[in-house]
Amino acid sequence: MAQVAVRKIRKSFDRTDVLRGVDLDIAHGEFISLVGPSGCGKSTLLRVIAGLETQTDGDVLIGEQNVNGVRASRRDLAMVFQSYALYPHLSVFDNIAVPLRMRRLNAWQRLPVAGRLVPGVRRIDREIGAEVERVAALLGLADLLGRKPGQLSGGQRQRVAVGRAIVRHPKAFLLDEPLSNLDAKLRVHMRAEIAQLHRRLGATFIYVTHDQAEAMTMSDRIAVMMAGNIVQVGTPDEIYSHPRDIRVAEFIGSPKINILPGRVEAEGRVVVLGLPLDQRVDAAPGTAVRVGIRPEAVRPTSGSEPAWKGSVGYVENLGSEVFVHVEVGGVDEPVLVRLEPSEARAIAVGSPLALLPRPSAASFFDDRGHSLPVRPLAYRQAAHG
Amino acid sequence: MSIATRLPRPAAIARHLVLLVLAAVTLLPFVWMISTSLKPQAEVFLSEIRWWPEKLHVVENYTAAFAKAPLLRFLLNGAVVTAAIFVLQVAVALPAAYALAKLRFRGRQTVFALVLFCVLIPPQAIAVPLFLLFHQLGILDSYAALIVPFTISVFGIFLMRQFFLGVPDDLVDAARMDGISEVGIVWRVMLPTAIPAVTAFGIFSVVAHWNDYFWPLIVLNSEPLFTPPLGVAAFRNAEAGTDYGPLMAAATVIIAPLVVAFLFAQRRFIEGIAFTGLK
Ligand SMILES: Nc1ncnc2c1ncn2[C@@H]1O[C@H](COP(=O)(O)OP(=O)(O)OP(=O)(O)O)[C@@H](O)[C@H]1O
Ligand SMILES: [Mg+2]
Repeated sequence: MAQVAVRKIRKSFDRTDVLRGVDLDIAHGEFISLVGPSGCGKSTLLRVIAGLETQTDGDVLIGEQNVNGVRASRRDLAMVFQSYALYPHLSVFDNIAVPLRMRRLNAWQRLPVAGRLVPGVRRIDREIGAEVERVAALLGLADLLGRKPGQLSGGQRQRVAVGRAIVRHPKAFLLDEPLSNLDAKLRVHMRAEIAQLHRRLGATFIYVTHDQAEAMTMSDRIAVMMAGNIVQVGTPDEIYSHPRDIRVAEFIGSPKINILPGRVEAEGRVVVLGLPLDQRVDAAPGTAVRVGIRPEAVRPTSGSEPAWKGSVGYVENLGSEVFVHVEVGGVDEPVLVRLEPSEARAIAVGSPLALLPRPSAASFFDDRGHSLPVRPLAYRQAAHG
Repeated sequence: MSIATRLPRPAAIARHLVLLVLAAVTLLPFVWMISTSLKPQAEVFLSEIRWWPEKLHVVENYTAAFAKAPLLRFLLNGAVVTAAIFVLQVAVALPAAYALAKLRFRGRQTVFALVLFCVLIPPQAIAVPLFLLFHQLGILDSYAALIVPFTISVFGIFLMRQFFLGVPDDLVDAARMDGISEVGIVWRVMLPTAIPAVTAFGIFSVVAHWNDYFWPLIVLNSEPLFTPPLGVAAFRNAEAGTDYGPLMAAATVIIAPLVVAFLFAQRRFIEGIAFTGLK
């Protein structure tokens, strides 16, 4: 059963189409990431789901219920904003308590002094206090409850924003780049914490980011958005290894995938820069294709077999790994090779280097950027046999 | 402070000299007023300048001031009117400014243009039509006549709208997700974040309406409703302009609340004036 689903969502601001018919089903308890380049409509989709923005067309379903036209506060979702959006005049305790107070007390009961006199309010207040403290303890905020947001570090503010979201057990959490204002080290730390929180709560998380490392490490599934459409939805491994669109291949993976020109020959065999690959595609001979090969799928070779001949243009040593940029005739961009430091020791800038792709490692795309199906190995053996 | 340390010494001295002279020129009438309020009648008209009287007449002058006019009543009127005006101005300006800054609706730009247009209308220009209108309504010579015309402050709407533009949209959205209504957002989220702007606006509003002479003079007849400036003026008329000691004592009493307020909230005052960029 889908906890959150969107059907054919369109959204236009004035005359610009920001979402162009988005379909997505998110299962109960799933952690799904929305990734895509800046301006592709991730935040807009999240805000449509939240009810902060009204879609031009299409439906939003939460727990199988159509919530079109239902106000944000009635959708029972919680959101964590990139800027945290804490109430600057309230203490950490009060910030976390606000969503509970708004739901459990009516306008009279919330009055500062007179509210106390209404029967039952003290008891509700005590319950709220206990829940706030439980959440604060879970997030390591117990000592900070009396502080104002202005007196907190970025990471602490981020935790308060998460606390305010989880305190009322919503149907799903919406997070819009919650870690992008943190420094790199804290980001990695909070990444682990949020993933752990997801496991512990077992709740549905919809997580917007343009940091693909976050998406790859935390998600059950990733939805890649491009220009107002979801181009591919899949597990991190599917997205990385079997991109369905060349834009997905280029967006996911750092450093970027190598895209090389290829040509289909007889029996679907593909020749790239004069070198025949071991994979075959379902395309007519003579078709021009673009071939994507990840930097870790290219190896230097010293043998005499046919290979791509080039010269080393630049070497980036990151300590744990080394990226070698190799200028190869026939392509404008250098071919990127990812190596272990031990493998790269002998490589010097300017020296010649021969390269070979690893077996069965390439993806193939037609002229519109759609991926071409690769024929199963059995067929190939049959053809040879 | 940092400017002073950067300027060469002679320039700093010259700057302070100019400021001191300006301050002296501004303060002189006040000092003279207070000094006169301490003098017996005989010393007021002396041809020599005497800052401190030979014979102190404090008690006499101030009791005379309080005896000849209901000064406390005037002060109370001033407090009621300025407080009511300010509260109502905020009650109108905050929701209006919130709508203009944070809600998307058709015609928002036009409405804002109208607000700006209204800033340009001088109050004197509409005094006569307002007077006639209030005459029709039969509310001349009342507290209502003093308060109602000022409840909608277009300057206040403009000022608060400019401030609200700087409040992050995410904060408003977070409040909506938390279940706070639009009205609730104005009072529970926007107002607390806008305290500096409200303070600045309050300073201008209170000073302007405490000292307003023009409008109360037009609509009021009965002395019990007089605001402080009218009270001083009436005092002078009643005493045929001869008894300067008690007159200056009355003026001092009437100015005192604002001065005391300034001394207590000096920092906020300066912040507020710097905030609105009207230095
Ligand atoms: N209120 C608005 N009015 C007009 N255009 C808008 C509005 N909000 C967003 N847009 C436009 O919609 C497009 C998508 O915006 P959105 O914020 O969803 O992008 P995003 O994918 O979240 O990007 P980022 O990664 O930079 O946050 C952008 O081109 C943006 O300019
Ligand atoms: Mg965004």
